[in-house]
Amino acid sequence: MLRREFGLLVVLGAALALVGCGGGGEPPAPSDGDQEAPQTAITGGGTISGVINFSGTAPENEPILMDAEPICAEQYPDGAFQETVVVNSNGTLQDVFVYVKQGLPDQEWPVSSEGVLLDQSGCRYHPHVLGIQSGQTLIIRNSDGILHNIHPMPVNNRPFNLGQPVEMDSEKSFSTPEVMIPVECDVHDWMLGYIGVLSHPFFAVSGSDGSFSISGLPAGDYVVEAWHELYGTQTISVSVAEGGTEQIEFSYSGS
Amino acid sequence: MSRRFTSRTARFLFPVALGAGLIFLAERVDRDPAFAQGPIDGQTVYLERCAFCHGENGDGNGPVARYLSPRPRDFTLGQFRFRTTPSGDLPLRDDVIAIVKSGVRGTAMPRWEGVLSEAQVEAVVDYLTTSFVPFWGTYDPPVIEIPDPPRVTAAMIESGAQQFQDLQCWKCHGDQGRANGPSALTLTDETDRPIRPADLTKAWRYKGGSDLVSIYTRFSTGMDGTPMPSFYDVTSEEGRWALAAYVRSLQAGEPSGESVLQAVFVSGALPTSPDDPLWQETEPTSYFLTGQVIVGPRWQTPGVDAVTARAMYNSSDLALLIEWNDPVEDAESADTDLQPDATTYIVLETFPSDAGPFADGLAIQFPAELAEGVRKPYFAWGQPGSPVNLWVWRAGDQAREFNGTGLWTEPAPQSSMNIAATANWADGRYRLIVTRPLATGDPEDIAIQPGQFIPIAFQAWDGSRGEAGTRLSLSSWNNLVLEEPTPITAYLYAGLAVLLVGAGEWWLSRRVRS
Repeated sequence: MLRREFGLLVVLGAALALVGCGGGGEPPAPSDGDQEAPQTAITGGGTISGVINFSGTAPENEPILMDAEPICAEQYPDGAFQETVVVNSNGTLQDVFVYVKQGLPDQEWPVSSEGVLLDQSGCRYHPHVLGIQSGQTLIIRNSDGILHNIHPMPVNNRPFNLGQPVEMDSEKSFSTPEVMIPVECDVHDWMLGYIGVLSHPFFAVSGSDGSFSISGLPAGDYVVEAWHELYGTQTISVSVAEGGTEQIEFSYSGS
Repeated sequence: MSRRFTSRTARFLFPVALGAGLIFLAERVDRDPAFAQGPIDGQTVYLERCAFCHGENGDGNGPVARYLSPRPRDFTLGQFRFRTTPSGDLPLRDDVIAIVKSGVRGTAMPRWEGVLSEAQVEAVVDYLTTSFVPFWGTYDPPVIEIPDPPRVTAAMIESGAQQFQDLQCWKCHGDQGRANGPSALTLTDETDRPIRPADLTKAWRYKGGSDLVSIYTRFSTGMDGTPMPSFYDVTSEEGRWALAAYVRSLQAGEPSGESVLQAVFVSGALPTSPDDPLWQETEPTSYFLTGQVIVGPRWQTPGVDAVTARAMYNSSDLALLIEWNDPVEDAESADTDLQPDATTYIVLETFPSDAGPFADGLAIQFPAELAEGVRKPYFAWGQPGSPVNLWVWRAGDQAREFNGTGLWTEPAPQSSMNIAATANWADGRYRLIVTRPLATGDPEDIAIQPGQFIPIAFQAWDGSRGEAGTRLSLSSWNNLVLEEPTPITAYLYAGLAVLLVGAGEWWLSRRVRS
């Protein structure tokens, strides 16, 4: 199950890389924040799945002045905007980090040897919000070929600041669980992303349909938290039976 | 009013005095027998020497922290600029010891070597790292080995210039290294406070040292807590030395301590453009400027900290070429006067809430008249009874003449204007030419004559830093000397002397032979 989840990530990463290296093409599709696990459950593993509802009016995302970087600016013929609140066409909310906050057995969770990709493309982070396990490799890709410096601002982890002046990959990891770590590029002060670091693999990020799914869970009573960049956190308690699937819904509202 | 400010030098050099005071205090503590005896306790050393700025809890929030820029290090964030370890790793114990001993140039962090004993330095470093720094002692940080530097060659510098382009150092540091890259004004530090990139032309502004090895180390390790990343993974050792050599070659215009500005005599017309090759005949002389801390608001973090001056004159006029770095050209101003401000210290956190827009500016100051002996007006805008002439140029405006009688009174515009100025700003540098007739016929103006030591001082405003009025940087008094053109008789006398010596030797040799 885990391997599949990461396999999907790698596929997504490859797709992103293609988009990023395409050069002057369409901006990457908004669904690249989707880290949803496959729907098929593993025997004995429970699943929590659901959707992030959104009501009311979302604030206008701030426009980004990218004049200083024509290579990036030309990828947004209609103008570039921040991704602070991304509401999907079906009225759901994208880029919400959902994770099991409490209730897991006290144990070491195996860490996948597959890395998680954070791509800098079009002077933006893709995905905008991602989850990773502590100790897991974060692959930081520069697809733009212009100078980015990858500069996470953690509290519980060691920060780092790497200059990437060309198309390239760097690898790093975080040692300690932390929800969430902002990631910035000092060269482009509009670039902003978030990384959720957990000791376990039970997390997901809502995608372009607002859905999420966390599977492979042992039976138990859990507190699940949803985190959004602007609207903050919400929690739901849920009991998962052996092999069962529980549906939960978070609801955020704008003004 | 001015009697309150008798200790002028001390107030002018406030930050220096603060540092010196700390060291003095430290030395007193050293001589305290109760302190000198017994085992060295790092905590005691910390509370005596460090807590005033860095805070009792190591969070960089000591009582004076809010008046300092840059802020004292917050050890609890565990981010250290000056390391020999990769970006994201803790510094070595030796790295911390080194910075405590050397201090940090351009900041309130003094040099502790020679003040604290070796054992005290080690004790205080062990105390603050183990008490405040997260992850300290949990692992051994890897080390970036710094090899012996090669001999710098012209080819190395040239290859370094290419690295500067390829690595896009200019995006923050600017094409000419003048801290005016496209991202320069958007940068923030680890506490989200604004931070500017280093002006690489100013050797004295490299906080971690301006020598080849220090430069190599800084971009290898990055400067954690700042926007400066590590470029270690994307450069070769050869490339890093080349880049260091190039960056070092950008350093220029450091004031040498020479106070005399020599004005060269030319017989023809004075140059009207800073690019005129005639200026090459003159000797550039650079002067430091410091923040104005005599009247409030006391301003300790000025934008313009040095100017380079050249001077030339002919039979009728004097021309001064003043150059200084300013990453942003601010030509719009909501405030054109020189009004004194309220008398308070500036809390840097809250500044600049009321600022702008202000225009950049430069003032050249002379005594209104040359006094006998060494008496000069007060170096900052003069004083009542001993006024100064201020030649004030503001970007987007013409140059104007004022009479100053101290920082506590608004300088008075003169009724007749005898100066002319032309200025240009390009790539982070102003070049300003100011000319004035040697004699103006205006009794308020200083008469400028060759051969005299004429006191001269400079003041500058950086508009986008919120500088206006008495919120400015200023130099102390220096001297302008118009070199007297060498009269033809000087050559005659020299020739005569040669002849006389020759004749004498001939006579002597004749005598010896006979």
